[in-house]
Amino acid sequence: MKTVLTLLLGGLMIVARADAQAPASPNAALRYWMAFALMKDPPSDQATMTMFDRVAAGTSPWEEAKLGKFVDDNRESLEMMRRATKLTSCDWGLEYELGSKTPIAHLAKARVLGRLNGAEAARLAARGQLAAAVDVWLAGIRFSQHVAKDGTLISLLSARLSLSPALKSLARVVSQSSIDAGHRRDIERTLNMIPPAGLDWPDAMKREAEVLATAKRLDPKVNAPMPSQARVNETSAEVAAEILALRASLASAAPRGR
Amino acid sequence: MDDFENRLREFTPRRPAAIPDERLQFLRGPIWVAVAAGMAAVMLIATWIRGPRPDTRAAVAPPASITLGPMTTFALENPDQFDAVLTRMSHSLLPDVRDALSGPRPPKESQ
Repeated sequence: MKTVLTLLLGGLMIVARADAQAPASPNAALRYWMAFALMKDPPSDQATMTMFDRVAAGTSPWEEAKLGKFVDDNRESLEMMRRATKLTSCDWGLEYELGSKTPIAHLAKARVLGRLNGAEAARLAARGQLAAAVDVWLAGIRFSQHVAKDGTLISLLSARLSLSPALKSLARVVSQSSIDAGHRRDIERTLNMIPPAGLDWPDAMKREAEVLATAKRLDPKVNAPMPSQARVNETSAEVAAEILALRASLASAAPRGR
Repeated sequence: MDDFENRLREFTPRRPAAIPDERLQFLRGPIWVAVAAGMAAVMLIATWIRGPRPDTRAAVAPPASITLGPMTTFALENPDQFDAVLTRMSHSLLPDVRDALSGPRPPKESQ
């Protein structure tokens, strides 16, 4: 009996020690908040936002005189954000137990930082630094995955605002320029790591239903309906098409790159 | 001398005669008004095409708080304004820590 007890205690001590020594996986969300704290928001007027979005989507040429300063002002935030996208763990610590009152302030900051990241990629591409531009767009794709992590529909809709321009820009650059084989592989690897529709829409809808149930439990007067599944399907199909277009560009560019 | 002055007084101002070439008559009169109006119209159209389009969307009040319920409702009902609202909300969420540490704070928005 004494031997069994000793062995049990010894085993427990080893487990406890191993647990205490296990390095905690760094949380990307904390790094992102650090980047948000250092971020200098560009002007939010419609004209500037439109210019940023057109440039990020590749529908307008890069405007150094008008946008360069905002990218330069945020170099530190952008570098911090890009380093964080390489982490595997991202926990925003959302308080879903609050139901519809769950704070989601990170989405607003993430949208602005994502837009700046897209602008920086467009600037690099305009300067002919295509390999660096690809790296920045890929960081944008990884960032969108983290923004959407464990989120409801609103998180995915926000993440999509950064994801789609990156997918479209990559498709355009891959089809028009000779991207080296290493970077083509990086793009493929990143695409293989994300869901076929870019983001996990069914998971978000499931969480949406749970949050709605919590909201109704907290306040029986809440009568918000579930978001339309048809519209969600439509949006996810759009993103899936963007991914397919990028894959098609990669496939057609592959023989040229060899 | 008087003769000379008398001779000069014989000269009286007179309208010049019409330009003999009838084709050049088209260059006179209201045609210039039409040309100017045409040029102004072309310039206006060019400005409208190149410049940013006025935002014709009806302004919708943004959500009062950046929480799940109001933001989701807003995003679903106003998908075309969701992005702009997120961006504007970002301005008011966190002060720039560097500004806070360096004395009087300049306007956060770098216009």
